Amino acid sequence: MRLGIPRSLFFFYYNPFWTTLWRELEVDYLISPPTTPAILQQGLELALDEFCLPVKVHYGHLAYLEDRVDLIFSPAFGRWGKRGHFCPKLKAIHDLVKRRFPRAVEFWHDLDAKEMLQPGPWWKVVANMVPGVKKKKFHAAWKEAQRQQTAFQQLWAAGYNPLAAVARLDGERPEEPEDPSVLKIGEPGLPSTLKRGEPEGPSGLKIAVLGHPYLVYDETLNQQIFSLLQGENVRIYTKETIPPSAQGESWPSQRKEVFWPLGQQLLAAALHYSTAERVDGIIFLTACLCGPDAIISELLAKYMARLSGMPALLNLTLDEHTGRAGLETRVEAFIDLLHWRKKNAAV
Amino acid sequence: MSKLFLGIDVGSVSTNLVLLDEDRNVIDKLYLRTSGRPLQTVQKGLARMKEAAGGGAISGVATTGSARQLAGLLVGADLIKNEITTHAVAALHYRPDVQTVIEIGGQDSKIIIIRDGIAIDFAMNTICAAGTGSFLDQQAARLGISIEEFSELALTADDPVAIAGRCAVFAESDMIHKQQVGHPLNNIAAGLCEALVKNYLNNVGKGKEILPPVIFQGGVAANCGIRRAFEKILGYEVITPEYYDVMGALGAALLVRDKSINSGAPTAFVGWSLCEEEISTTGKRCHDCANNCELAEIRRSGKIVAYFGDRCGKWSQRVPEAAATQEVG
Repeated sequence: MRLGIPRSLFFFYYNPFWTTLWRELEVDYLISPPTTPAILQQGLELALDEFCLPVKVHYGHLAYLEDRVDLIFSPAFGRWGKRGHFCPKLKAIHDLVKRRFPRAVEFWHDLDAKEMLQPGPWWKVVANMVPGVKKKKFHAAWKEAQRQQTAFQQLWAAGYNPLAAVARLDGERPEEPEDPSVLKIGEPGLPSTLKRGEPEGPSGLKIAVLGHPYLVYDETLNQQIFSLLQGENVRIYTKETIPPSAQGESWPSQRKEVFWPLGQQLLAAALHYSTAERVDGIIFLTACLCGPDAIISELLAKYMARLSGMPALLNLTLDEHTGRAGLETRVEAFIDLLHWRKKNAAV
Repeated sequence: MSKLFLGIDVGSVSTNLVLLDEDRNVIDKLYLRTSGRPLQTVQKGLARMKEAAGGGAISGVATTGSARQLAGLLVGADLIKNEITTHAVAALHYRPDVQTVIEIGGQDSKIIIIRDGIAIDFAMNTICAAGTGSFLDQQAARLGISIEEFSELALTADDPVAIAGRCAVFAESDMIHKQQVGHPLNNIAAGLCEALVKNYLNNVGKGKEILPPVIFQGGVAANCGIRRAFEKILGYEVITPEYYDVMGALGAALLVRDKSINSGAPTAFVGWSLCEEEISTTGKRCHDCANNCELAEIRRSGKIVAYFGDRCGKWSQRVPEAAATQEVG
């Protein structure tokens, strides 16, 4: 039996957990490749027009796996911590895809107050799916998967973004990159070797690229924004690598936490990169038709406008365009603007 | 003789050229419709600039606009700059105290906020083209009048009707409805201008502090109906500069003038002979990996000078001849 794992949605956050679990259970698995234009295209054809871009791409990954595996690992996402929730589309995602993809098996992600997954509901599914599997073996596999996941997330705080952290865990990369100024995100198929921080590139600009992981770490969706920034010699920062102490912070004019924990984390990261570890600019990536993004990007612009000395903010809405001109123009002009501002501040 | 500098702005709707002398005077300017043939349009424009320059040498050339990379490779540009920056530079040249630049082109509209001579913020229209020139063109055509007549007509309105400006499709159905209930055309035209301006301010100008002097440039700035609607809604005088329709090209020329004079480096301009050469483009697909990139192959006099559209750089980095064929002239 072979299981297919879609490289979409929260794959970028749960990748070590998912893969370790199946490896420990000795289940053969296949991960769909990084999104290609063909996968995107297929997703656009299969999904309803009202879905957000990441969900459409998820359909494309499921379609890629459909004829190559026996069962498809179909994650769905419910609660997040004490009061938080994933967005309604991610809660419903398995129910949306199951008619089109009969091989999809639902794995429900409910994160408890400590943001940990519970093994109980998964055991029921696994017992049905893997003939003769023993409960003891399942729990041992679960424990190892949790251990890998924890190690993965600890690497974020040490400055490894999720792609770099996975590479580090898999031993594909040396412990310390030989030349940490070389950021490899832009190269197809190569995970990043980036560690957060110094040394600064010659142009001396620092930009935080913030957004949902399935936009920030999917090169096809973000139209290779990282390689574009690298070409301009920009040092890049992402949401995951902020120190744990900064994650609970909220903006001075923020009355309450936003409903979606991921959105709250993005706001906290923007605050961190606006103050404690100040960057020159923040690029906020949002997906076309994403409800939470529409609100969070507006809130962020509002909170930033109320304070002085903030970094410049660029909101980029990603959609299914494959032409790159619009993105290039905005990013290049943003970089010119940051240089101008910096030069002016120095005078 | 003064040194000459050339700015070329190849946009979706128009291709503009500006010939500048060393003292930043505009010798000649040209506004052409791109008509989906950017390279041939550039050639056409160059032929006219050659006349204006009396066939004299060019000391620097810069390209801007959405086809800036393509045009830059073709002409041998010394500088390739995005159109937001070039528009800001040109507006600052025209009015050093400018605080707000409104630019509305064929498919793009932008706002640039400038304080103390420094661009501090900008925004461009998102995926919707409702507030741009293409939309106005379309609506004028629907009313069976030219865009110039449309603009004049709007000025004669005594009571502009309310038209939903959020979306081009809804605006059109709203407009038809107003026509069908008997509103005069001039009030509808003026209503459409106001709808477009409100859409621009809500979409592009959202959250930006618009302070005077306000400069209005881009092809749509020719439309006095739109300008009046801006003045009415903003409550400020809106200034349209002399070279409003070629500000991107002007900004590019200004930037390359400074760059060339500061560095003293010779230009990479391929020369006026480019006007007579045969330029062709072919589309093809690379099947070397799963990305299946759409490639554009550019030939000059039968020789491949550039590839565009590959993600990995395998094709676009393959053409060193492009740089080797430079001749200063």
